[in-house]
Amino acid sequence: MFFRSTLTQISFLLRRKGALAAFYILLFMVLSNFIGNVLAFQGLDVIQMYHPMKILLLSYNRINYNADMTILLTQLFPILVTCPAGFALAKEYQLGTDIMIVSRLGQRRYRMSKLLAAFVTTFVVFTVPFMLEIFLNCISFPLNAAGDLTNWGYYDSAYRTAVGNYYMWRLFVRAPYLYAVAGTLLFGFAAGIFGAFTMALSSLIKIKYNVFLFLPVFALLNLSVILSVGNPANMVSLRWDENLLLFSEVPKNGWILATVLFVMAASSVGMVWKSGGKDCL
Amino acid sequence: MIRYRLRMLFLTGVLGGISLSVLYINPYGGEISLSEALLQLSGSRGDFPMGFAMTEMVSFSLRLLPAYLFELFFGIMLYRHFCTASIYIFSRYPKRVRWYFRECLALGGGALLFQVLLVGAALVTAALRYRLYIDAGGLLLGLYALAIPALWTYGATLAVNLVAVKAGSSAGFGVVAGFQTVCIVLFGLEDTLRRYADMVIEPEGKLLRFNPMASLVMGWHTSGIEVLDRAVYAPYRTMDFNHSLALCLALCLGILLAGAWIIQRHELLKADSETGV
Repeated sequence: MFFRSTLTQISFLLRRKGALAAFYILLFMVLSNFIGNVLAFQGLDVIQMYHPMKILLLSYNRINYNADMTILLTQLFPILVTCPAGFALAKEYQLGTDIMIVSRLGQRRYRMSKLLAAFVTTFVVFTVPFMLEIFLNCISFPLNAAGDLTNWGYYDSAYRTAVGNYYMWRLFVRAPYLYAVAGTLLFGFAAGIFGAFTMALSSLIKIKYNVFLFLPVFALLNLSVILSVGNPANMVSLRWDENLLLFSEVPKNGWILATVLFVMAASSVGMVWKSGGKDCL
Repeated sequence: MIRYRLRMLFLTGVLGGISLSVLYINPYGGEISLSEALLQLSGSRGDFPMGFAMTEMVSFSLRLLPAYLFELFFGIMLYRHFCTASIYIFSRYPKRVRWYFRECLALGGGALLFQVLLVGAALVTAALRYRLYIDAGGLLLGLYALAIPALWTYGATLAVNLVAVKAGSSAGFGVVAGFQTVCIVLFGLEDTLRRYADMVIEPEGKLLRFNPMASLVMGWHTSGIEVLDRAVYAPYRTMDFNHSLALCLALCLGILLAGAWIIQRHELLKADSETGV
């Protein structure tokens, strides 16, 4: 019953305007980036060509070349991540349609299934376009191209230090394409957590205007950037974009990211569990 | 409700100003001129005007965070009257356009007060941390640094309200914030055109004068007033303070008039934009 209800809600959420709008905006950005790459790199010899995964939209390496679309993604992300599923519970509460579902499922089960559906929906919306770009780059650019956008040589100590700072750097060294896929899934996973967190907050705090649901994730992500302002270059980065984007050569600590995501996930479950026990009248 | 709004305005303005000052006003040698402090508040790094690197664009977006929060909190100021009991409210105010202009005046006052609080708190914090000295160019720059961002914040907040009347508060904020973000990314349009289409725009910085968000970067502007021009020392000679002020004023006027038309024609008996019921 729980999983059937979750699947139904996922199917419903994926068809909503918010999810479709976020998906098409991301798809537009991905395709713009891909077309830009084709225009910029067509005709280059394979020796001169950059690694096809390092020119992805999600690649932090792009800041060394042209990162317009990546900047756009990092600026729109705090708003877009709430769109697919963050408003789902609030809208159903405002419409009163939750009463019908709660009468069949029970309050707690309904909210838990909604939380899982919010996570999966946001994960799908923030993974599929970038997976598509990986596929397009694989078929359009030479797979044996190995250049880095910093133009550092492979034997340069700065390059080795930079690669050592990637998450899953051992995977990157052995299988860079698998690294890109894993990194994209991690990005989608984090987006799913943020979307589910917004939905969980809306289950605990009744708000009249959905615009205020942008605030929690918007504030958290910008706070992570603020906390990193003025930090020395060799200090561990707390910025969400430097932690979640691929090929980020900035020093990071995976445990911090894992802890933050775990705390957000756990608090989402806790908030939904608590709100599920409240009197729905 | 008014006390709540004023409280949010003061909190956002003062705390925003203090945080901007701590993060971005950093002089060499412990003293800073008023003009340099205002330039650093709007994107400059030290003596250098803002460039187009990713870190600088992200940093500029962060400087706009208090303004985004103002747009979020005050983006429902007019819209809330159209959510519930709109028929009751407008039966009391049959002359909707007059009501609308009165509300817009209050919103404009709020936007100006917010900007004064933001810049004031930032400068007071800078004065407490360093030695802040007043220069003639700084006083003139201060007037533009209040007027242009205040107009921009006002126009954006009004736009959030108007889009919300048609499509809901979340869509209103999303569309307006998204538009501002796209404008920031388009700062690098000339470089993109040169890179992908072999198009060289002369003089350099020409496209920036048509970008509304570029009006907020004080360090890119020139002025006919010599003392102000010397204080700013812009890298491009294509943007002028008065032109940016006129652009922001024209945009605000356009949004204001479009809003009057939307409000006048909005059907009160149809579904509530927030819930769809």
